[in-house]
Amino acid sequence: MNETPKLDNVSFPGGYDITDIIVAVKLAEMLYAGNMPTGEVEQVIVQRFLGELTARHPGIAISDPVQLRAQELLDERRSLLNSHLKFSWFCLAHWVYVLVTVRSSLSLSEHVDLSTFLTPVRGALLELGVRVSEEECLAEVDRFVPAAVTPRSSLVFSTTPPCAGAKS
Amino acid sequence: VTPAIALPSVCLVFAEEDSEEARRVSTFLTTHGVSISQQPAEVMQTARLLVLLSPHAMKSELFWRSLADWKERQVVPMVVCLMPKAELYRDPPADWRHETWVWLKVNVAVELSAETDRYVTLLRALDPQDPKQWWWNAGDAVELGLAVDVLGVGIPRPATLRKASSPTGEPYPFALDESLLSACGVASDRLTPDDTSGRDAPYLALCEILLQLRRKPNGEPYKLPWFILIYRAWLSFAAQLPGFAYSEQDVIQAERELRQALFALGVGTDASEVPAFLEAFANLPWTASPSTLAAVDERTIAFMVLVHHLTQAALARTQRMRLRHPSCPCFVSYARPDEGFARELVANLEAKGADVWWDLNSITLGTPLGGSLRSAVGDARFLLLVATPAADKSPYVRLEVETAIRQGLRVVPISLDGQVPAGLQSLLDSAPDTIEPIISAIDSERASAPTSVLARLERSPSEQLRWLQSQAPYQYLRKQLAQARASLA
Repeated sequence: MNETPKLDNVSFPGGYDITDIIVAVKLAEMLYAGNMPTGEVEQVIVQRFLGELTARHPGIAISDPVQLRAQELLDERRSLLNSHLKFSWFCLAHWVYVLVTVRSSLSLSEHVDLSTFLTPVRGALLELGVRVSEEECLAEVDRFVPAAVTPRSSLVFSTTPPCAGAKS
Repeated sequence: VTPAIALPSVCLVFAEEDSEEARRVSTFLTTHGVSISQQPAEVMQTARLLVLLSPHAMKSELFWRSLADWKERQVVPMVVCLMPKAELYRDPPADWRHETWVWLKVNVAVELSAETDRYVTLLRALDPQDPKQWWWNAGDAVELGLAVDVLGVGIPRPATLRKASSPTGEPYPFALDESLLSACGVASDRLTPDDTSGRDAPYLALCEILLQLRRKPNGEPYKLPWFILIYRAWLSFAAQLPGFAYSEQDVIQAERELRQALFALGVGTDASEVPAFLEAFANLPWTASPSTLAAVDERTIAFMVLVHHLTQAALARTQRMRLRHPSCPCFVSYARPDEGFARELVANLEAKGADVWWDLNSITLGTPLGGSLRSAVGDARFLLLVATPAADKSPYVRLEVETAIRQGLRVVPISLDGQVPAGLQSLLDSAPDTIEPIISAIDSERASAPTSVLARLERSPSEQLRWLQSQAPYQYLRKQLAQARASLA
């Protein structure tokens, strides 16, 4: 991710970078569900991302990698040759994941004011052309909330969720 | 496939001739946990009624009687076409079945393809408005462990959702509004520069403000490229005005900025393409010579309209467009056995920027074919006729060609074997003035056929100008700019 941005000559408006999306989700999982990436590929992607981020900002103790990456993506908008939606997709992936974990009672931050998470989600959606109210946004996110903690989701959330079974 | 999946029960209605297909559908759904019922009496509460619609079913009285029985049960029907979807509307029932037909056609139609994933399509379509369908396609949901209910019945859908998904009417993302016309004012001010600050100083200052807006979340990402584009395009059309001065450095800078601005708006260009295009654009048959402010304004606004059209096309196709005038819209007439060739032709033409109408990209459920066809043929300027023996036998192709000839469209026959079948030829002979020379798409020439077709669809310079001036924003923006100029004067 730290290379000079390659010119995207085909897709438009572009900005959907799958590596950034994975990083955004995995960082959300680490920060808000307390899980470290379990898959080999995930670990490599996250470690590489953090290593590259540190290399790009030498001498700075990186306390909030999400904030720093978001700032980098905002700075990339200086060039007309970069899609301005890269930032939007990154934020959407990260904050929607956070919202789903909160609404699933799997988040470490479930008592934080929901608007903290809703605001960036709505902002990213707006930039992508979707206008929703807080209620509509929350209602839509709730549709993704697992009805119960299943063997599959237990595997994904490998540590014991704070409220395991609370939704069943 | 996904954890904790909740599945609805489904009822199936079909004609006797389609019982084999119904058996396969049932087997597939049953193995995916969907319970099937075939009698209205068996169903206490159900969300889905799969209706297998085929040419046999359309003619079967028993089938329609059965449907009428289901209709009383307040079930939600879902039409599954065992024939091309477009053919649903070719011969809609007009007798006592009409009421049931109206009830059926307002619901989703799934066209079962011949591909191996045809039943997966059916399963997905059981709830097409469920956003988890997208997750399913992307394969992300399973990895994240979040998709629990692909069919969407386990989690209640919020009542407000449907309303929220309707268009808001806000322009996105290209707001081409009159505020951008200030770039024309800034550009014309450059002709009488303030020597203390430099010719481009006001422009650069405004660019900086717009750049800050672009960098902000929820800012105005496209105002900056529009502003740059309008400013530089205006100056390129103003070369004959007194006071115009561009150094060699300015020329290089202008070209770079124009290319970048166009790129940000979804228009890709090659090196040196933009100056050549602007020069050709300035040489369209304008009524006024480019020696007045009004004439330069007129050219700039026409150019804005063209770029706006290209950006919209880029967004619709999610692909960058080339900097070129759009070709004439056309309608493709073909018989179902030639669909493969038609598909390839349309893809090639669209990739080159042509505006193509054909049934597979345009007919939606609930739109009567006759109306769609009339509207499409009415909007088109050309009819591309895939003239094969199958087309010769198709009454629908004949109808389309007759409609096109009656409405004055140019007909371009495309032959796959070097000749036009006798029946179609006699039809074309009835209106020789509207028929273009045949384009051969025999095997050795198939690759070049789209280029030959596109050459026919291109507009002449005077037609290009007329088209630009006929676009809705053109007159509005001209008027706004003229008023702004007058108030400043």
